[in-house]
Amino acid sequence: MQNNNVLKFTKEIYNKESIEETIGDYKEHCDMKLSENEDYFLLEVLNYDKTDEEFIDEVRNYVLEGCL
Amino acid sequence: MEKKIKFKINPKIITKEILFRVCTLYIEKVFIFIDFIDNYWQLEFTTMSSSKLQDIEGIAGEFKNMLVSEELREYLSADTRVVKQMIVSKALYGAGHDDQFDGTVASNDSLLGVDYKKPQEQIFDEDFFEDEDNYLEDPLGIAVSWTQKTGKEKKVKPIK
Repeated sequence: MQNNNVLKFTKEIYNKESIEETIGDYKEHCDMKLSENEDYFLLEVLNYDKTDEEFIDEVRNYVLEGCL
Repeated sequence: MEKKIKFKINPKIITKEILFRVCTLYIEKVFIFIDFIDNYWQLEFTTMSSSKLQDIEGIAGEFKNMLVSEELREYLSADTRVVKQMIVSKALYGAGHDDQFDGTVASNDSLLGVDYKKPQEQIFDEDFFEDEDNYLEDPLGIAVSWTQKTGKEKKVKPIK
């Protein structure tokens, strides 16, 4: 089960540049820490508005959009 | 209330390029997340509260149809790519040169990127293009006009 705050992006699809760009674009809305393992980029999302139910989905969508 | 749907796509059937192309069409309609699990693309669609499209199953079905359609289009396009490159190369070459086209096309995937000045791959018999008549041959009689066939002018009904 994926922790709500840690987003896993498979390296098969997502690229690091797009994630880094997302971190920059969302810096006013939350803090993000990027790490990686063999198969995934791990993006920890901190201090975001948890009342916004779509926030995490929006971030994931934004990262994908950068890869397309 | 957000709605989610998950489904798998086989990467042996649908390539990453096609998947990305179709995702581009839907990324502003639904939230899309893609994972790669057990050698399958695992897609997750979530409805957007700001979007009128809330029939998540319908969207997913449409998305899958689009994947198949794009993959088929790509397959057919690849099948006729050489012929299309030959036609474009011939047209471009003919526009700027009086001498004969040498029957070669550039091995570039993009039609617009065809470099007709630097042929890289010989794919046609040069003799074919050296003989102008090859273009004028019409063994099936398709190019014969109606007047040539019947020997009389076609009557046009006057407009009342």
